[in-house]
Amino acid sequence: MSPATENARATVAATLFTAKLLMRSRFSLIAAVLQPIVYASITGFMFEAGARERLTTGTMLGAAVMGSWTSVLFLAGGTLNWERRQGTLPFLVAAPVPLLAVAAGSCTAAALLSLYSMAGSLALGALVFDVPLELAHPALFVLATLVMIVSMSLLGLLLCGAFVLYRQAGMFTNMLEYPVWIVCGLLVPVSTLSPGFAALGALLAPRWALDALRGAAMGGSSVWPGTAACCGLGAAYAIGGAFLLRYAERQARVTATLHLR
Amino acid sequence: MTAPLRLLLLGGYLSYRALFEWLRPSLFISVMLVTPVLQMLFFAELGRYAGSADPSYFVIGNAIVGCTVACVYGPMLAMSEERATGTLPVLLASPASRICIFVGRLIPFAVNGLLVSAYTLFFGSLVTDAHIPADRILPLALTLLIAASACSGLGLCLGAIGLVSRDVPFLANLVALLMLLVSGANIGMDRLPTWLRVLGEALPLSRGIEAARRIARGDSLSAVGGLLLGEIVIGLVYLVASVGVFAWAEKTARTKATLELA
Repeated sequence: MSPATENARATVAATLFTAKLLMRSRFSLIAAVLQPIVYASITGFMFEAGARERLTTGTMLGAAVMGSWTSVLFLAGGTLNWERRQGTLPFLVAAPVPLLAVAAGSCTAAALLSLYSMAGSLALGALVFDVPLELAHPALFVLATLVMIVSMSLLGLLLCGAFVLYRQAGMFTNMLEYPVWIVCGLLVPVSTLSPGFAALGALLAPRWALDALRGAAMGGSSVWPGTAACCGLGAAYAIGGAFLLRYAERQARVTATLHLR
Repeated sequence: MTAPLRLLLLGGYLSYRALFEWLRPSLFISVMLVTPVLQMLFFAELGRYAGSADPSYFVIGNAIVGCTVACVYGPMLAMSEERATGTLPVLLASPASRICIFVGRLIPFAVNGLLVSAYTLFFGSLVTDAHIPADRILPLALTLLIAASACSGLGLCLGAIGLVSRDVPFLANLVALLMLLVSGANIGMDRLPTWLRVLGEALPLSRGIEAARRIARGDSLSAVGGLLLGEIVIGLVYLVASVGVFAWAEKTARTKATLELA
């Protein structure tokens, strides 16, 4: 088997193994399903109380991407630190398969939880808030969903590299949840933000993923720009994540800190 | 210092300090100081966009609900960590009053919750247009303390459940999440479906939030006395329930020898 095939096999195996773990985790249920439902409900009741228009599919998709970001932030970002706590990180590093291949699989599994978020949010919209389940371009919606999962998993890879390299950074994951929801315009449009915050959001895949999903679901021209931005950002995240993971692996070997929490 | 008072104050202090020794100070800053403020800003922004209420509505509501990080997770972890770190058998073998043990563990987190709420309220009124008159600060502080204490009672009850169940962090996450929806922090209770309203009234904070909003609008403490009394009663119900669960857990653990099973 060629090294590339071997790496791909390791990534698929890590995806399946981590997906099985996450599907049995109650934290995943909170992050990917219940949290988007609660936030979408709050938004729905707020809209009903205020002067704003009724909820749309776009709002429910915003809540779904919120859940996707939470899953990626906590589960993909913390995946190698979790391995460290379990005592399995040294084995992963010592294995002939690159650490990057295994981490990419784990991050993909975390990003796949976006499907739970999407199903939960859209079902809530349809059942509670009378938001019709209609897709303007079903095929494009599937494409936009796939692109979102890939770009979010690569963003997770970047976070994973950063969190394993700077262990204290993991302490601040809580602080990254709300700001990304705000600057990416997941529930409140980016147009209401100051230009600085909007520019920050433009560097993050959730914003463009939501644009692509909304364009595909509700019609509009944002599908292709959103998809292209997700692909470009995903490539940048992949390069950054690979660099950080290699650097972290080398540093850990040099300083013998792989076990240290 | 008499033995029960020593147990109450020193036991609570040591339990609180130990928890943050384990969890590291950086986590304290992240979870207690920054996240509640970010949560408040998020909902204030969402509320402004939805046009559902003025900023002070969200600042006060989220300042109070922000105490859940200290008051729900804190006592829950303080109690359940006793088992995880192997100190539970020593605690149960001691002749110490269970009431003192429980109330002692509640006090630091209630004070912590009060500080988190006050800090979030102060920060929120600085960065949004929310205006809270200076003469409202003392009655508001009392309201925040009552709400935080009642919420700590719930946290303690979850902690007691944590002595017999491994799923209590899930339950605590669920409760904290639901409080955003059903406590009235972001949506008026009258806008919720009946079952969610009933759930909100069975949990702490909803009365405290309503009382705090009325105090900020100029009502006196006596005018919101019923709400505050209701909040105290809810807190006491959870405290008594936690002592009951603890007694049951203690008996079960002695009978079935499951004390140290994590």
